[in-house]
Amino acid sequence: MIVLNSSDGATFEVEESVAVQSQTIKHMIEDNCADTSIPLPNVNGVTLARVLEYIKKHAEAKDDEEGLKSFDAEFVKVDQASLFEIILAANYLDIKGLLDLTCQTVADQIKDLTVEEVRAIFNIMNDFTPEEEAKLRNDHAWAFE
Amino acid sequence: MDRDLISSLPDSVLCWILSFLPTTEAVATSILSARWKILWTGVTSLHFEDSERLFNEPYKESKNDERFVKFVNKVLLLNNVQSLGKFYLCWSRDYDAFYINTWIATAIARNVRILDIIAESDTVELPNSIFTCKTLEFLQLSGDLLIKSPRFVCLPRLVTFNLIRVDDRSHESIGQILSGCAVLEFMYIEQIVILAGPQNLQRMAIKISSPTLKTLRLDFYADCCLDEDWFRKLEINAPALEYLYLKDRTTESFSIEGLKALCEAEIDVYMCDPPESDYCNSVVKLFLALQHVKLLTLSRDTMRVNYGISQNIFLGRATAHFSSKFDRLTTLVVEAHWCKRSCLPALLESSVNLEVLEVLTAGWRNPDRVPRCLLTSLKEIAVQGLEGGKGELAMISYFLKHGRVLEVVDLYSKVDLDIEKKFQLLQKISVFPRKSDTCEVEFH
Repeated sequence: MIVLNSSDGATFEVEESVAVQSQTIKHMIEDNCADTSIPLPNVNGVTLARVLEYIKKHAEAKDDEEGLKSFDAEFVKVDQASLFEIILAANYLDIKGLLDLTCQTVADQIKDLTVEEVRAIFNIMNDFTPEEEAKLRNDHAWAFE
Repeated sequence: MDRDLISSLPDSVLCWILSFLPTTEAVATSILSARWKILWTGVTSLHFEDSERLFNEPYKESKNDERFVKFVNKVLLLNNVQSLGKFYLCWSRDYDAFYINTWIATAIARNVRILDIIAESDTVELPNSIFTCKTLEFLQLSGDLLIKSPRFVCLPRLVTFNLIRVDDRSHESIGQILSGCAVLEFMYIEQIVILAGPQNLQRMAIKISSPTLKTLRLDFYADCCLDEDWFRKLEINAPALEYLYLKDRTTESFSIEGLKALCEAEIDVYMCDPPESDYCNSVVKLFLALQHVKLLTLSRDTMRVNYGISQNIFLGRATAHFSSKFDRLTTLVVEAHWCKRSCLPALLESSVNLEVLEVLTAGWRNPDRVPRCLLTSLKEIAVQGLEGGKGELAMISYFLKHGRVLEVVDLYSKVDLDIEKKFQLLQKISVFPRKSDTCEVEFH
């Protein structure tokens, strides 16, 4: 069993065979940095719990394609802030499947929307002058038809 | 106030997100804000499709075509990724072949792993650099593409190779391409064979030879009736093959060897007017090559073949060849054409360890002696499409009478069979004598 410490002091136990889905953790174990526990200063407790939920499910139900698909679909039904936390954690912990899943989810939210709609959803402030924006639209005309 | 959380994600993550979008949308994010202006140049996946904008537009001349060309050129110049994950290109208008070739060559120069090309316009010959791409893992070519492989092929990482309705002159190159693939596992070829009249007499051979191939799916169908002089040969040599799907209406001669690892095969072959008994012999040879299979599915038309012009000769040969040949076969699924001389009994005789049998309709004659599988191994039988015909009843009665270890017989009537007839069928079958005490007959 491996012990993981989140940034806010929460402790989690997880089987080594499950934990190595994270390449980061895998390398730490291989480099013998995991004697007592592994500190993860970049991931808070709530997010780490969710990530562990993902990798545990994917370890135990490895061959159940249908089951994993529906699990994944439910897993990403969270608010924006949480989703980004999970993305950052998946990126830091280097868990490819989770990173792909969460990034695809965000991409799906962007897909087929106009630029204005995307700005609205993510609260992105347009800091271009009208001239700059017009020039960019013209540079890549095909993308903006 | 709601915060802009997304823009605080690191560059690499944002690029990864953008890699899941079609390239036009990725590029469009450049005007979201200054932060996003050049993020798209780091996407690892490029997806170009001219019908995104041209789909509903009537064909004009160069004006519209230029916009797509300019866009792709610009993106390729500005995208600075050295290792492309995926490159998808689909075009439906006539662009100068020079551009198409350059774009593909650029993807290859950027160490692309997945290359997916769909041509829906005039035939374009592909650049040779595809065939020496050291990073390519997945190659799918569809549509009006002509593949002429150079003599030296080196595709050390290629695992999947799919050809979908490409120019059929490309088939000459398949053998050469495969010789340069050290780790190929999946191959899919879909082909419509179109006859262009008597001047197109082709003696085409498709040669598939690979020591690593695990899954092979072939889908060949003719667009129109075949000319008598037309001759086509299929050669397969794949000792590691585990799964074979073969649907074919155009091959006259099969030469298949070495399928020692075969687990599952789905066969649907037929020719409407084959030259004499040669074709039947060829299909028998095909069957021989499948002898190690565990799960075999045979289509209706395949079963019809076995009753070509020289029925008696074939039958004689069939029994001799089939005897004890399918000893690893545990599951057999057949769509048996209703015909008194079905080869189903012969197949059963040679499938000595059969455990599960699924039959869709039935042609039946009682075998000369009870097939061994009925006495020792056959546990499950499913019969689909029942109408109550004599042949069907004879077959079911035979199974029940001799099936010593039968556990369950699932019977499915034809969908539109009326209740009266169903009931009569049920009554008749329920009283058939059963050899196995534990046999359950279930109607669905």
